[in-house]
Amino acid sequence: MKALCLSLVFATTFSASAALIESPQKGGLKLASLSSISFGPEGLLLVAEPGTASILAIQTGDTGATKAVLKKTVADVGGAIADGLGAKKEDITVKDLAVNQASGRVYLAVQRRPDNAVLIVSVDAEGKIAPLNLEPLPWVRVTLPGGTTSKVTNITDVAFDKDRVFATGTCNEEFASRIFTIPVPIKNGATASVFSAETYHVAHRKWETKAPIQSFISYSSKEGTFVVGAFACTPVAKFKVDDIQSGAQVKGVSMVELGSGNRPLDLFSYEDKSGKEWLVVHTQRFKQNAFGPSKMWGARISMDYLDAKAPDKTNENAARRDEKEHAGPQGIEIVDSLFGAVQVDKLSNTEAIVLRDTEGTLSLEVAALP
Amino acid sequence: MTLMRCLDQRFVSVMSAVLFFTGSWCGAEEARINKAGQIEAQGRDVRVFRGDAATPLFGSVSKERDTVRFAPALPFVPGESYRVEFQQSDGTWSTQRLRMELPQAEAPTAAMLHSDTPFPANALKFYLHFSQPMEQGVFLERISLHRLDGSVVSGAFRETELWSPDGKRLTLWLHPGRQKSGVNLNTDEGPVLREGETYTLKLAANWRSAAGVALGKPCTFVIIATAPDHQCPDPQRWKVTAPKAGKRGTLTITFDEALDPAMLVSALSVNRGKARLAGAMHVAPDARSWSLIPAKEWPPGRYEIVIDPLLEDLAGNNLLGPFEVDRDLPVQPAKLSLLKFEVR
Repeated sequence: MKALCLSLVFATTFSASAALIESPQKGGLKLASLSSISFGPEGLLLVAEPGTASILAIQTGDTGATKAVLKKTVADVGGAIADGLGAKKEDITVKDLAVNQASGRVYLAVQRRPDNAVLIVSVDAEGKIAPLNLEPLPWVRVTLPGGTTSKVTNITDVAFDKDRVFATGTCNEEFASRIFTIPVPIKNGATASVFSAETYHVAHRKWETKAPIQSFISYSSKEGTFVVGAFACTPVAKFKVDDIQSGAQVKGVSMVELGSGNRPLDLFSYEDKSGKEWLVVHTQRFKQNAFGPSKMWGARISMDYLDAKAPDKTNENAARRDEKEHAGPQGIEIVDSLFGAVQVDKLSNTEAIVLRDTEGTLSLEVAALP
Repeated sequence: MTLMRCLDQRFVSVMSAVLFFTGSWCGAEEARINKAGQIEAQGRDVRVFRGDAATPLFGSVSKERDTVRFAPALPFVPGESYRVEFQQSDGTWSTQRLRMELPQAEAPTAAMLHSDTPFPANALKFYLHFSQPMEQGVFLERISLHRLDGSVVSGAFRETELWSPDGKRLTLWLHPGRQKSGVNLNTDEGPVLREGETYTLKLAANWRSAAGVALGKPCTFVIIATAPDHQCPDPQRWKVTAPKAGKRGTLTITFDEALDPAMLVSALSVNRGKARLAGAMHVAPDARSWSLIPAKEWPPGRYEIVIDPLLEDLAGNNLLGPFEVDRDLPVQPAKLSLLKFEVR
């Protein structure tokens, strides 16, 4: 048997990441739905499957002997994926993008209409697109616990962090944030721990108990381990997640307000050439952007803001981005290379991979980070 | 209040997984789709394309003796035409075009709870029910909210798409940034709904089911906005109608306001002692009452109705507090989450 459009078959053995998952299923995985994807170490792919309220961890074997980075822009990548799935270009949605740091390969979570079938495709350094063949890959599934009156039906983000996996989600009927944690090694059939999350909404001057976390990163400092989340309309807040019991309510601290009419889509952090750390918030505006050609844009925020503790710098006193300026206050700046980006993930401390929409045509590009 | 259904029953054509060959086969064996959904024919190799696309479909090719098979990465798409290129035993390639048959299939229908009845102006969500799983990723293009003068309420909905696992129910959130008092979007743009005004929620005719069948004509639902509701549901204002002992009569709880119909499905339970009563639960179409018919006759005695304190009204207020809550104020004790009744 040979592949017509090559499915991914990696030379690396699966045993390299055996410690990351426990009691894996041997092949046969069928994806029913997709929302977020991300990579852990050693080619471990995390997939949020909202239709089953679960997180999948898949050993792709894509560990890459040498890191191969996309060499040039892949023009009309949406059209190429549509052709590969036998669909019209307008019937394809790229729901998420993840860069496998181990190999440099880019993965895209794709949904096709009208049948809502989903597939993960990868793009190699040459820009070649191929479906990820799940059939031979070991995997585990962990269920996310729902509320008393409803089930988790929306998983907004998932990420690996050293000894655990974090996920965020909401229930269909409830307008509330939940943070889930799954211990590593990830055991098939395990149930995640869950915390209800609330944070101070800067614009309300009220405790915002009912807002969903759109995207997050994990963050460690001397104070402990935090989930740093971005909310709709639009605070960036951190939640301390050390030593909390499942079922607890975690109060977040708002650190930065991005401004009216913004919907955060992705977060990642990086360190610039001077060694300064930044949090990048990829965002969609409801209206035309004042400083760029697209409603899709991004800003970088100095990580120093995340360390603020004093009451005069957090919650109702949190820093607010100056919406009338390209940058400001100090340490908050627009990232020009993210205009038009519909999906973003970090490639390195100098570059990100961007899926950019230009008048309805998607291209996959390497974008420089400032 | 009524559960409004949209569209009459109609039948339109959709595609089944049957191939029509539209071109000659240049002497090669005819291809067919096997039970596994693969294209197979005699030959050495095969490539499949959508229409005139230059890039072939994702999939795998296998060969067994003289038979070659193509398995697509995703099933063939209803309504699409494909170009199949086979390499024959002599090494030459031939092309055949094919499409799926279009069988008769029923069009989807849509319904919405509470349509034609008042909604609090600070309502948070609507539930749209469909008779079939619908295509996803397009709801913002397919749903619009109109004022009486026909103008569109722009930015009315939260962008997050929330489908039930079976793909038949969409939880449609009015944009919280506009519905919450004092939030930046609320201040800049105003609320989505204004008290005293009437709106029309419109579903576009071209919204397809997952099987590829469109609604066929627009679906419209009337929304009447009344005064905002900032009060928590209060079970002390509910009316419990107890059944008689020895029969399988209906226990009915009548609310003083409409509650969240989706939450009601699992938010209430009836206990006798520590045992939960089994039976058939029903939520009224207007979500103003809930009833239970037990699996067995009611034994006489005392019962408790256990209420999940997270149960919400249409404005997101639950038993623990209103949706918009100022945590600087003293925390209010939880409302009653238990009702008692006696069966005689």
